[in-house]
Amino acid sequence: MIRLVTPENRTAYAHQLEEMHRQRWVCFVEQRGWSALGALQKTPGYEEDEFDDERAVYLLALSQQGNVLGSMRLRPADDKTIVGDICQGAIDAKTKAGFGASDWEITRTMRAPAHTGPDGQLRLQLTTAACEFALDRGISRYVCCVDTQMLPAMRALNREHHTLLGEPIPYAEGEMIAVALRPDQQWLERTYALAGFTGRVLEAPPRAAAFAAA
Amino acid sequence: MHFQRALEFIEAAERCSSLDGLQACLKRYLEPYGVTQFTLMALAQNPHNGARAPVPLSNATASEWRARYAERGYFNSDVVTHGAIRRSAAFTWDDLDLKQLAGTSRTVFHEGREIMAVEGSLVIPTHDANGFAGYVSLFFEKETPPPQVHRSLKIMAIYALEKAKELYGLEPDRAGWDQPCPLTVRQREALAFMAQGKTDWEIGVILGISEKTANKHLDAVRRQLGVATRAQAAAKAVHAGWISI
Repeated sequence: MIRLVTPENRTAYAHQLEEMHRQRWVCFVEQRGWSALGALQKTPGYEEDEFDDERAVYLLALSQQGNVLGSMRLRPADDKTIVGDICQGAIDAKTKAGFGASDWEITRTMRAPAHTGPDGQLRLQLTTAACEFALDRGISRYVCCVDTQMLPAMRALNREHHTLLGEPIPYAEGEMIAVALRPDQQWLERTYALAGFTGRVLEAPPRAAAFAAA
Repeated sequence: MHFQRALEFIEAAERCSSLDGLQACLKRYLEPYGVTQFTLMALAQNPHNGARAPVPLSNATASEWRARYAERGYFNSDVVTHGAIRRSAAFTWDDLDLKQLAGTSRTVFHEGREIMAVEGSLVIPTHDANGFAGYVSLFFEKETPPPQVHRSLKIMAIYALEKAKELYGLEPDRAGWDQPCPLTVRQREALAFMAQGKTDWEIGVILGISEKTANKHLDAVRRQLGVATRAQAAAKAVHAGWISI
């Protein structure tokens, strides 16, 4: 079951969030060579940025011992985004201005660096959980930046559900591109079938009143 | 404008029901850029042994060159192919180190240029989660368009190649959704060349990275796979189908 970490229950997952930030440093700065990101950090070995704020929500895949196996950050896109405000040239001003209340951004999708096992199921779990979250929350669109190497797979799995938002731009690992994803029941059922999930993978949402404050 | 054209091409390409139709569609969208000839080359995986081999999916070049290229097996000696493996960004013939060409590579390059009678070129490599996946070569009667156009052409190339693979009957890339792999693309590439007997220095030259970085990638591979030696890493990866040699 993927855990949902919101501003309301963050203290209950303080240990896992700490672990997640340290894993993000190893994954993105050390393994993937995002040196510019590393240079921005206040504390070496701990990766966080301005988007890790009170509006961020995290999806955490945990082991039976409570260790973080993988994580994903989700955040509303109506005030600022990595794709629009950090990745220069990824989208134009008109596209950026079009992000509204029902648009969220997916960033920092990661498998724990120490996890040496297969990660296909993990990625499917996180993606499916993000889709379930979108349907729970009324999110109509996710935006994200992906490596252009992911476009063939994106086309294969999400042909009707993905749209390119801009031209490719260079980054530390090659070229990336801004993409919009439209989660819906059809997409959810397709990933359930692909992964062999028999039911919901994201833990049940918190009460509506508590969640509305996010 | 160029990006919008690329989006329109994607929609039109998805409606194509044959390789001939896709080729005609691509020709229509590339002509405004001065493209007179093009090829789509995919690296397809054999489902039985995991080996990857080149498959020309579409070849709208001079028929004489098409025939000669296929009959003489020029793919492995083609400096354009070697360039596409090393790069993720589009490149032109001018970006290649043509002075170092010798033997068959030199022959292939100059024969092609002469027979096709073109002035400009743009090679757009495509990579998927398994690494180098193929490339699209565009040939221009006059000069190659400026770099700001290359990005939209890359989008068109990626989607054209994927549609061509589908129409040809090749398996689409699923980025490890059902073939889980703990290695990054670069790690897999370095491991594959190591398994072929290349040294760290040679791997660096092929991938366009330093010898030290190649060594770092291979060390990371050993740790990721939880093995003691590089040979064990290669064996594990070949057995799992993550690399082929």
